[in-house]
Amino acid sequence: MKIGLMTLAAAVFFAHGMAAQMLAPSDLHGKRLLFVVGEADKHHPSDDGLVKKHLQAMGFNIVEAADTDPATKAQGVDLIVISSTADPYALKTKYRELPIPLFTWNQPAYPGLAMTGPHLHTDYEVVDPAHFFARSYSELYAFGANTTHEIARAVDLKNQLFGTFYLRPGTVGWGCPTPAATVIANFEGYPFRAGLFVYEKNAVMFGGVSAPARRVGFFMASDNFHLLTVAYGPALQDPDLRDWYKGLALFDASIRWAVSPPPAGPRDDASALHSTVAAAAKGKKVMFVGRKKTPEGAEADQHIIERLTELGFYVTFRDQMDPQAGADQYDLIVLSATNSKYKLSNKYRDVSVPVLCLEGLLVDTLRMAGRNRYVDYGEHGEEKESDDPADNSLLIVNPNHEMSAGLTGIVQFTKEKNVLKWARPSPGATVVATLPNMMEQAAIFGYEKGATMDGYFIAPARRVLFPLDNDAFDDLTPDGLALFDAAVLWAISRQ
Amino acid sequence: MDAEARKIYLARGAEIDILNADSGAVVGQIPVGGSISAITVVLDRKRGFAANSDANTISIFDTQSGTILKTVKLSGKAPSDITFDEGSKRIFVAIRDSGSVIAFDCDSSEIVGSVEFEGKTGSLAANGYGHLFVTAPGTNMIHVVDTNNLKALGDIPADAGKDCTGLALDPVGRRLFVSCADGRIDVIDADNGATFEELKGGFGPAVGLFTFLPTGKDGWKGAAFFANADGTLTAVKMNAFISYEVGATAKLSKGVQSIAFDLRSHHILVAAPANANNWQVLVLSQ
Repeated sequence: MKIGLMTLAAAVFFAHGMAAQMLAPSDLHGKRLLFVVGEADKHHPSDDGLVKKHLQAMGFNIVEAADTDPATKAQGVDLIVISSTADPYALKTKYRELPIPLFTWNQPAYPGLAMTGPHLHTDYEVVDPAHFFARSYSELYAFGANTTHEIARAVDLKNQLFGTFYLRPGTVGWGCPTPAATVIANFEGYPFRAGLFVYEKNAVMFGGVSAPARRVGFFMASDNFHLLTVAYGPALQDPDLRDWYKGLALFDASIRWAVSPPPAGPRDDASALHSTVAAAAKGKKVMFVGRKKTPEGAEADQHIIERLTELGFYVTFRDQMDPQAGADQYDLIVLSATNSKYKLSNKYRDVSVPVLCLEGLLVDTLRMAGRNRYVDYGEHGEEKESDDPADNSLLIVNPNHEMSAGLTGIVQFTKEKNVLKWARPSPGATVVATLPNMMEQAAIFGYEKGATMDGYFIAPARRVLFPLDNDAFDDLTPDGLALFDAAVLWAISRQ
Repeated sequence: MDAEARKIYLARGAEIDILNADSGAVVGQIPVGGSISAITVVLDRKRGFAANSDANTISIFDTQSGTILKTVKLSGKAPSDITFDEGSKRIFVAIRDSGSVIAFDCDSSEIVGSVEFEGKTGSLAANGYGHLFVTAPGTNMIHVVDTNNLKALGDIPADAGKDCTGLALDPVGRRLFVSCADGRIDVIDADNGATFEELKGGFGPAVGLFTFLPTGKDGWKGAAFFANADGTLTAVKMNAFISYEVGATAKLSKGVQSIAFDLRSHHILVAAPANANNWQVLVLSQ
């Protein structure tokens, strides 16, 4: 019986796409790597030679390229690594479209790679001690913004400060990627001043460019690879010090992640998805929290409950004023948009089971986003409350994520244009869909269990925002319904 | 070197010559026997400790009278370096061929324990607050030992160097200076083990020391000195606790065996072979 259950669970997992595993360090042996560097400058010695040696020690076969070489030199390689000694004006955009994973610490090259926007100091920055002496010191420390990404897990990154470089002022760089990226480490208290960030394959980068393969931006400069933090000797035995000296470990894990195969991504097959959710739902219990005798949305709530029941869940309805006691006994809490934020209070924030939130205005009480309305969260199309027009479409920014339902690009979410809510989650979240043309406004996003939410709150279990205004469920298109199923599935899947 | 008493203890075969640090005249001798490989003196205890690499013994002598107080037979082979740890009040002896370190209580002169490693052990340096650093010749590793509990605490690699033998320690700045036989000197943060500076030095096995130079002449806030077997003396200049450079080099005769610093005169003293039968102490000023 045990074996049977395990087989079923595995089948569910594989049918709907699978989170790929990072390659083991030993798997890097023999991988081909193109190392793109600039001209040697005797006045500014670089660490390119040390990096090359290190990458060779990791097992890579290195092919070197000058920044002026054509992109065809990358043919057949498994990973492109671009040093900051390469001239971004010589690189131009030639590596942007290549379907080969790419890792770079060349921040001025980010725009040409579509990893950030083009504006210095706004979209990316190189903080060197000659111009920013004090700031270059403050960037000897970064914050572990996302602790659930594979790279973060590989190095056991905590949601706290860690040392980036050995204690001397040096050049450090950051970029401000799109919400489709995962920001693993950030600087100076700015959530999206990303020192280390990654794009999954097919994620939407700057200008709507779809990442042709994995992309990694790293915070170091041309001459401080050898200063990336690392602990040896007694310091290695101390867990606090191990957590502090993470610089080199992050470099290694990021390289390994970049060259690892990305997840297959879910298929665009609503029927198969529905079957997968049904298989996963069987026997699971859902607490549906809404407003009894609600003036609007009662019918839609009923239809959501019917949908969940039809999928195989045992659904229990609770009123917004009911105490949350016993909530941890359920497999999923669904918070309806019929709830009044004022009445629901801070309930369900701390429950140790997944929460699927359908009401965008609850994101701050649930710590899924900050408290500044129209900055941290808001809505389109709400009369008297929003300058933005009603909308009915979403932009899928992370098609490889399970919650994308295999959809890509702009999808029609509801049949009619109506209220559509959004939020700006912290870097601990993964954003799957945003408002079209407003990428900073995330519509569908999720936090893994253990992820850092707003105000350093740690997600007790998975948290998902799926914005459905009161009666919007009844107006969902087939794609919208597939996205709903995918959100439910991800919320209850293994964590 | 006993700068206050103006005495230099010079191992010369089976004997220790006591020289006047100002005149260089021999003012006494201590017959130890065998072949002396290292000496250290504990000034406030008025005791000296000499390692005999042939007989595998440690001789403890009275620095006032120059008489041998006790000779302790070691279980290992080839004691190669000795250092005193102010914090634990212990004398540590590296037993080269056995790959171990033996600890003596400074007052009782009794062995209180040992730590074993794979391979050989070389130079020693103790920080006075819990850690003893031990080079592992033939590798790029420095072992770290808990001086109180006599436990191995892990290894620190010298990033660039190979076959690291020379060791100097700044216990205030918490910096390890490691001289390697391949001509590299690594400056390492003794707390986290990170190499943050790589400098060029001499070749072959080395002896080293660190000293602060209170006068700060010409911007020297401190210095690590290494004398390598090829006769190169390298002075690593400390500009700041995070900034070091090679401040000076000198070419000496090959086969340098020992190095000391005279805190009063600010002279470097180097024991080097004058010819097949005689040793000389070279006195080098700043």
